[in-house]
Amino acid sequence: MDIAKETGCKVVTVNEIARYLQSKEIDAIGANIGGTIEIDGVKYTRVPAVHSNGIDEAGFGWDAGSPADFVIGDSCVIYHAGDTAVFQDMSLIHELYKPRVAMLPIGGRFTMDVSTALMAVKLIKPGIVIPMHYNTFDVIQADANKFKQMVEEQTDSEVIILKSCDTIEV
Amino acid sequence: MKGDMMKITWHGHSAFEIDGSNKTFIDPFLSRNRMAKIRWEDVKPDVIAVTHGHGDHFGDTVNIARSTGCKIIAISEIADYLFTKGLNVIDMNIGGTVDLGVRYSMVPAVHSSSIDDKGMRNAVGIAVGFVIRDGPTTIYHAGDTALFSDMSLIHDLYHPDVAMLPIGGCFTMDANAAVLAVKMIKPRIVLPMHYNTFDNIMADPGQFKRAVEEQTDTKVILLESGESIEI
Repeated sequence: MDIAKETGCKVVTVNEIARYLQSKEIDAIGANIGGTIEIDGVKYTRVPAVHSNGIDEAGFGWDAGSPADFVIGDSCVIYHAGDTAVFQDMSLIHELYKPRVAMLPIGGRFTMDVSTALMAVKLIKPGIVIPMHYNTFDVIQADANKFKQMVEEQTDSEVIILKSCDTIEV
Repeated sequence: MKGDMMKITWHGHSAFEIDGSNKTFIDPFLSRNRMAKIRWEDVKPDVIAVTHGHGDHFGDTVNIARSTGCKIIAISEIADYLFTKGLNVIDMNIGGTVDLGVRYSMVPAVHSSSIDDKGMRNAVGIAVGFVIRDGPTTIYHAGDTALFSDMSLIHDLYHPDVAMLPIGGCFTMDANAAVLAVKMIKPRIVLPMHYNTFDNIMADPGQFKRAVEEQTDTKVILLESGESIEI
C-alpha cells in the first residue's frame, strides 16, 4: 500500500483485495484465479494457492478472498507461488504455462518446506527455481543449499539461491 | 503414554484425545456434544489442535486453554483471534509443520470456516486437517472436508497409520465418498467420525466398515464415545 501510494503504480490482485485497495484510492486491478490481465505487454495470470488470507484491519481478520498467485509472462514465463502448500494442480501450471522460473516457498510452518517444495518442483518442472519465504523470521529457518542439492540430484531444474537484492537475468 | 505407544480416544463427533509423548486434543467439542461423556473441565491437554472455527470443532477451546494454559495450534487467522483472548497460541498455515517433539503438519481441507462472536458470524481463515507425527506413529485427522484428490499427496508425504475421516454427509463427505478417501490415503486403520451427533448427519458406520474392508487393505475400527485404541 505504501509503495502504491508513493509511486502511483498499479496493483494486480484478487477481487476482494482489489476492492479493499480501491477504498484506499489505490489503482488496483482485480482478477480472479484462472484469469489473465495484460499491462504494458506483460500478461499476469492468477493461479491457485493453498493458504489462508486475512488483512488486519479493525483488529479482526478481513476475509480477503482466497490467495492466488501469479504467472507472469509472455516469452519468459515466471511463476510466483505465493504462500502455499504443495498441491497436485501444480502440474497444470506446468501444462498451461511451462514456467522458465518458479519462485517457491521453502520455510515451512506457514508454507511448504524443503522436502515438499521438492515435490512441487517435480510437478512444475521449471528451468530455474528461486527459493523464497525462508530465514526471514526465526520460525521459517530452512537450508536452501540442501534444497538446491536435492532438487538438482532428482530433477532437471537448476536452483539459484539469491541473496537479498541479488538479481538474475533470464 | 510411555515408549512408542499411542492411545487415541474418541469423544464423539470430531473430538479426539491423542496420548503419546504429549497429550493433544483435536477439536474439543464437549459441552454441547450429546455424544461426549466427559466435561471440558476434565480435559488437561498439553496442546489443542483446532481444524476450523465452527462451534462443533472449536468447541470448548477457549475455556480449556484458559483453565490449563495449554498451547493451541491453529491457522493464522484463528490464532490472531485467540491471541486477542490472551491465550498461548501457535500460528501456522497449510503445508507447514510445527515441531514440539510431536510434529504437527497442517494439510488442506475443503470446507468453510467461521467463528460466532458477539452475535456475529465472521469468516475466519480456512478449514484444515492435521497430520500428527509422534515417533514412529503418524495420524491424519481430516477435519471437516469433502473428498479431494490431493488426499493422495497426504499418503505420498506422510503415510498415515491412522486416519480419522468424517462420514456423516451434509457438511462433509459421506460414507461413499469416505471409501474413496481411504483408497487415496491408504492408512492402516480408519476411525470414522462426524456422524450421528446431529439428526442431519446420521450414517451407518457398519456399512462403511464393510465397504472399506471389502475394497481395501485398511481396517475400520468403530469406537464408542469414550473408547480408546492403542497403537
